Amino acid sequence: MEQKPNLIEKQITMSIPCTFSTGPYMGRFLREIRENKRFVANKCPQCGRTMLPPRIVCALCNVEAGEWVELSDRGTLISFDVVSIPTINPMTGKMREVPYATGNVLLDGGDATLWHFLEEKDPSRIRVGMRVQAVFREEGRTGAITDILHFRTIEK
Amino acid sequence: MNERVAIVAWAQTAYEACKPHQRVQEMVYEVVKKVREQTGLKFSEDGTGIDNAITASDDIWDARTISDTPVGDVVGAHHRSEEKVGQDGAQAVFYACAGILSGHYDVTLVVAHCKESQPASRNLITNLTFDPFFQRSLGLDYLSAAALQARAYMDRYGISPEQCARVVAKSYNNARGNPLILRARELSVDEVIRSPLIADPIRELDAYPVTDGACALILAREEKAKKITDKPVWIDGMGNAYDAYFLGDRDLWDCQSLKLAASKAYRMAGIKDARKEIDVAEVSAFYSYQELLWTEGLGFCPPGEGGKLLDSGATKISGQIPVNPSGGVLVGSPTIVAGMARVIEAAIQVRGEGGSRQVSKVRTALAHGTSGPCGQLHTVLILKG
Repeated sequence: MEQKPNLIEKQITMSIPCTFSTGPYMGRFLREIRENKRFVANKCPQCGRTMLPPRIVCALCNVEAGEWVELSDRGTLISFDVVSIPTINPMTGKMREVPYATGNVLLDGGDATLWHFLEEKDPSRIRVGMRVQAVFREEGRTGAITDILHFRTIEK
Repeated sequence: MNERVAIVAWAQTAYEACKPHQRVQEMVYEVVKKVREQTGLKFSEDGTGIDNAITASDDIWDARTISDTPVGDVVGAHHRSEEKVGQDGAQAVFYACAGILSGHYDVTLVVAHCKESQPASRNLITNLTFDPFFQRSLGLDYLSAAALQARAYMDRYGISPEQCARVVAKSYNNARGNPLILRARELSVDEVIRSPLIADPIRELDAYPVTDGACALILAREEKAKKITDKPVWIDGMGNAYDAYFLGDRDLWDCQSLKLAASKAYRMAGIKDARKEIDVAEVSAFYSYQELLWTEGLGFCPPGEGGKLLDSGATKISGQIPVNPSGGVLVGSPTIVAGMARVIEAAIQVRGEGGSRQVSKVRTALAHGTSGPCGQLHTVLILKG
């Protein structure tokens, strides 16, 4: 590309401090992780599907979903990806270490998947259908999705 | 299409400083549930139910791009249609109405939400409206912009701080008849004048307070409206117009785009003399001077005489052209929600359901919303019983 020496550009980083309410549904999901290292979802009384994250209405039926169910911390990998090109982690401002792997886990007992990091980063050792289990942070859980460190392989 | 459009149901949350127990989806569900219960309508595209949703929200306020995603499930958008208006809620009502008038939809759910308590300061959000190179880094935001407009307007026409303070006192006292305004109380002009200066000439009580809230309403085309309710509130006129984006391109003491928006709405509704024919007006004044300036732009009085109109008592609930019997935005109505809350309050007046804030003999009401700094975009709707 032709260099244009008189071009003025501005580097701007925007940041706005906010306090986000988690509300009664997401709040309960996060509280169960923080206090009990366990996953909960809520269930539609009409169609019976469980929703992750839990939320106020079933989108299909437009009814409130007030029943709560516990899900296992084990599940089946529905999809995964391994990232090889580093990008900046917006939460820390630092480049992520690569490679890193993430996957959609269908937790036993539920209908929706939870997406998170996988402990295994070698794509030749990950497959759809693999059984995985959540590994929680033992100390310093705050009620955040990062209270889960990753999912480890329990069966290839 | 020759059929008219009516508002057939509505609901508002209480308007309070902070709603820490709810996300926006729970706030919006609270009001959607109410309007569904009022009408018995389901979400359906087969001609028997609500066949479209229009949501009003702002991505930067919500710190979430596509800020309608959290409320999609709640407004029946799953596998159906929904569209976001990233402007004040009165504009969302306008847009929803146009969708029905086009013949494309029959019954539309319209919602608006904002949690002003979420960012550490509203000024951080509104600063981002401004051009990144020309103004943003100097710290211009909607408060300082309003202060510039207030100074230009007050100086040009000799509007006094006491007149502005009287707008605030009127608003808080009117709001005592509005059970949804948790801040409503007796307020004296003296207390307003003695409140701290935040951006001269604007004092703390001259500025609308930080508020969380949401509202919903349902619009229906004429044939359906008459089946859903025996008290439809017809939207007989609407108009909107944008002013220049850069403050320096405008005469800040004027509100040209409001005059244009109002004239379009009046023409559509067949109104020739707004002062005489409008029985009540709910206008979006975010700062006290704006109520005076907007009454001029709406043609309730000649330019520069907003203060005189107020002092005559004409804009009191018992006056000839009552303005903001609900208390308006100054008592607590978040951005984005404000204009739609005005539409709802105007509809309440048309139906005669205003309780102790009810204006007598309302047949024609005006609702107004605005977006952007110093009233850049204005939307005016005329409601009739």
